[in-house]
Amino acid sequence: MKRNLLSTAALLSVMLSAGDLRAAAPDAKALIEQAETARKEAASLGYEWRDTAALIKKAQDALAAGQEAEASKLAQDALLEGQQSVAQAHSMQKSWQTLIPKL
Amino acid sequence: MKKKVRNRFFAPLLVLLMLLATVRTEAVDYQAKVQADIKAFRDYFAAQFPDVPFADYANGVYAIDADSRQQWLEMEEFPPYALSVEDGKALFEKPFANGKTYGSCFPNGGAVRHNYPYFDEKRGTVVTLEMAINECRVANGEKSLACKGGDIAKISAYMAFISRGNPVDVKVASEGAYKAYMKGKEFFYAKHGKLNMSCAGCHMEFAGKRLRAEILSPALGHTTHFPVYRSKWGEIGTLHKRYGGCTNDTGANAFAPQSEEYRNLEFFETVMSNGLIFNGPASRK
Repeated sequence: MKRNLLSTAALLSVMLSAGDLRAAAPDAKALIEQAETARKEAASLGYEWRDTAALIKKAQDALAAGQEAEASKLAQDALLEGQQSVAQAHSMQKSWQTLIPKL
Repeated sequence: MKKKVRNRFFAPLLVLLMLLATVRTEAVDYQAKVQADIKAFRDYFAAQFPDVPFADYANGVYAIDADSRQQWLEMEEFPPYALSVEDGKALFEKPFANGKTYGSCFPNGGAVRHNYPYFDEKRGTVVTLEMAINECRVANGEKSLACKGGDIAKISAYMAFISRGNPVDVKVASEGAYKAYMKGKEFFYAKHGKLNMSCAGCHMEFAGKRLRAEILSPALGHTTHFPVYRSKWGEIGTLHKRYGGCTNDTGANAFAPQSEEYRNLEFFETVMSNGLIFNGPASRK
């Protein structure tokens, strides 16, 4: 009886922690799609960064290999690059003239 | 009475018509706008490097660093681009499959480097020398060449060589040309890439300072001496190959050679070098 209780508790603990892990790792597929959308927007504005497409490709490969956590991490990095490059584009379009060096 | 009414009506109408005619004929002087930019650009470098004569900016970084200049002058005794110029001459004169040569597209035996880049009003776009070389090929039933190095850089080097000494005098004479110029200008001053760097940041504000082992060249005169034999490349390459390398170094995605972005940038940079001479091809580290 005692052993059964311990086994059940251990099983519950593993299930709960697995649930936590799933909750902590965002949906890699959705992140990859968001990153690709941001990359395309940056490209259309002429401000795509050098490594964003490569990060997205790595995330896709990791997802295809079943490494969801790794895929999520890579896709998050790509998404951050995509968002920052879009922000850079908007900022530069507004303010590039202020960057002309003055004597 | 009738005459008075007619005068009262026609006099203001005449004035109005004259005003409208004035407005219609008062064209924007784009060249004057650009001239102000050229002056500010030159003044900036004159203040940074007061001992450098204006004409010397055609020599790039060797205008501002005595040690590098000495090494370059020694290298110029047996210029590493000489073989490329010879190859370019042979390619220029070699007939296409239809029997014609590049000479059918380029007058004066190809000594027309100084006519590029220019804004083509009909097509509404900037035309560079390398673009014109490829268009000549296509018009004669040949395939386009890759635009970073190889044969196109050799042909361009030959054409630059036989055009040496001609002044840079790029015109910005229309609204379309001015728009292309402004796009190139924005590209030059705006920050790009993960490192948030601009052409102007390195080649104006930090010109003459070191970036690792290299001394950053001044932007004034950047386009006069291309294509260049670059020791790092081990071959002759085009201006747009260099643009791609620079863009990549800022952490931005490089544009394709002969893309609209790089042609506009070349247009802007060459306008800024008006008054210098074309002296390509050249050798660089």
